[in-house]
Amino acid sequence: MSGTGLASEQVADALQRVLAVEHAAVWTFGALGAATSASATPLLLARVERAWTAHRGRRDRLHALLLDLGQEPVGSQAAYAVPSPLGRPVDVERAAARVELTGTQAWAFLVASTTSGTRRWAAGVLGELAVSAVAFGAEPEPLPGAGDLIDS
Amino acid sequence: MPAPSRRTALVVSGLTLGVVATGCGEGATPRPAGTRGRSDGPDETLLDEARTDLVAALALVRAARRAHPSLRPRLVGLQRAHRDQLAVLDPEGRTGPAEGPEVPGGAPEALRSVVRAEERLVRRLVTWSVAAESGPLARALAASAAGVAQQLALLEEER
Repeated sequence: MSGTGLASEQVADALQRVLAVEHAAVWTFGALGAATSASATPLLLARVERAWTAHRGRRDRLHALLLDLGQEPVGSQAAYAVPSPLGRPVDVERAAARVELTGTQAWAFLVASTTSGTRRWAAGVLGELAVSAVAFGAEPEPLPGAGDLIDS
Repeated sequence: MPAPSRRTALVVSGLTLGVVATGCGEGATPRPAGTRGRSDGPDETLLDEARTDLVAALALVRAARRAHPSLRPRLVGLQRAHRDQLAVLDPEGRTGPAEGPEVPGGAPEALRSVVRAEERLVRRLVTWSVAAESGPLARALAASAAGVAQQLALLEEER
């Protein structure tokens, strides 16, 4: 399904890169959830948990795709840098938006590096992350994940 | 639309040649993404279609803002997004102007008309992205779809 006509090494390399980004996202959203109060900010916690669940799903699917390609999926690091500060809800939102924006770059890269079904999936995730980023307070962009195409 | 810079013109020619760096953090390297490394006909055709749809979407947004001053602040983001997307996908402004779109007389109906058109645009941009031979063109089209999706989400939030 992935990489019809593309070198499988190229597809695998792209999947590995995006998987590494998703490992970091899962870890970071876990940290953001731990820093979010269920009683004081239940809606924010729900959004963080939804994002965490979505990233876990993407991570698992990427993992499976790599196994299908006969590749050993890259593992997660033991820990990642905790976004700081996280004391206020706005800090959590800002950190969450950063994670999602980083994700848009990775998934836009996957769009360019794959074809057919995997590209469609990547394009869909790119849209989901872009929308999630603005829900967490990021400024909208004309080309999320491909801002390098726009003249500054 | 601002005058295209030399860099933008190079980028858009690269979109259909498949030679633009796609980027994924540091160390990303330029790479062709399609089987042929470049494509002549099919990608040019779908890029033309995308340009035409974007120009039409921009025309509708502008017309809605003109006809309904109450919608101006809400639709300014979409107008800017389309203008910037066209600056990348059509830096030389090769696509002719869209025919004057019809805008419903009521502001709520006009807004619904814009939203429907933009939702359709998102679907089409993703479809063209999947169909593109060139990886960089696919990326630009999918990113454009994501940019429109962001604007639609913001409009939904304001409802």
